Amino acid sequence: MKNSQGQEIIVDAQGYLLSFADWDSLAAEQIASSLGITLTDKHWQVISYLQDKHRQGKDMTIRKMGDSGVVTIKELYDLFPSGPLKYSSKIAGLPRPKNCV
Amino acid sequence: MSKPISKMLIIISKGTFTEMYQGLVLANGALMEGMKAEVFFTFAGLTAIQKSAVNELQPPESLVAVMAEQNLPSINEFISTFKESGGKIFGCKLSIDMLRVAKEDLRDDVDGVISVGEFYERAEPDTQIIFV
Repeated sequence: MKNSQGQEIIVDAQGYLLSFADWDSLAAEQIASSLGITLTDKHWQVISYLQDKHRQGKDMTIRKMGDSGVVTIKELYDLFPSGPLKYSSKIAGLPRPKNCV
Repeated sequence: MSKPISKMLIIISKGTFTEMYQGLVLANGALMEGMKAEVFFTFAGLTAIQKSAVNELQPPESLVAVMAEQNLPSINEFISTFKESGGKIFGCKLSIDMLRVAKEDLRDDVDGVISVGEFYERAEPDTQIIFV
């Protein structure tokens, strides 16, 4: 997988980017496609929010996403079926979330 | 890629905060991994879905500060999150009858009052059952 600069994107065994610096929208589209997800404006809002929180050093939980004002819990599950936090994080170029709640 | 487990059925039978929390973490965690998940509250576990009792379920003193610090949900909030995430919750008919729990005292979003047999019937291929 390459980003729009033609750089090879290095991922771990589960497909999460090893370096957020490699991420761009093309990478996001490719990762989303591999998960069967077509990105809409709402997806991008969630991705941007997660990336902002990541830059602030904040871990996200399902509940925090529901309180974000960007998306409800139900919407998050609808947007990223089978992996609301782990798939949204993967598409956003972020590490796999570790929280159990 | 197919997953080895498609659905988790969790039976919560205990009435202590930590034991209930463990069951809810297992159930909610299943949803987060893309599985279906349903919880059957029975005997002492019923208090989690009783309006008159759920707020009495408080963490032990040793966990109060860390739960606040990490913004962890109460039992009531956790079940709400589980429901909003697509989980289903059921009350055990036998327990409700034995303990004479009023239907009006159950959470409004309980998906049904059923027997354990009816709960087992909700298993699908590749379902796992956990008892807490």
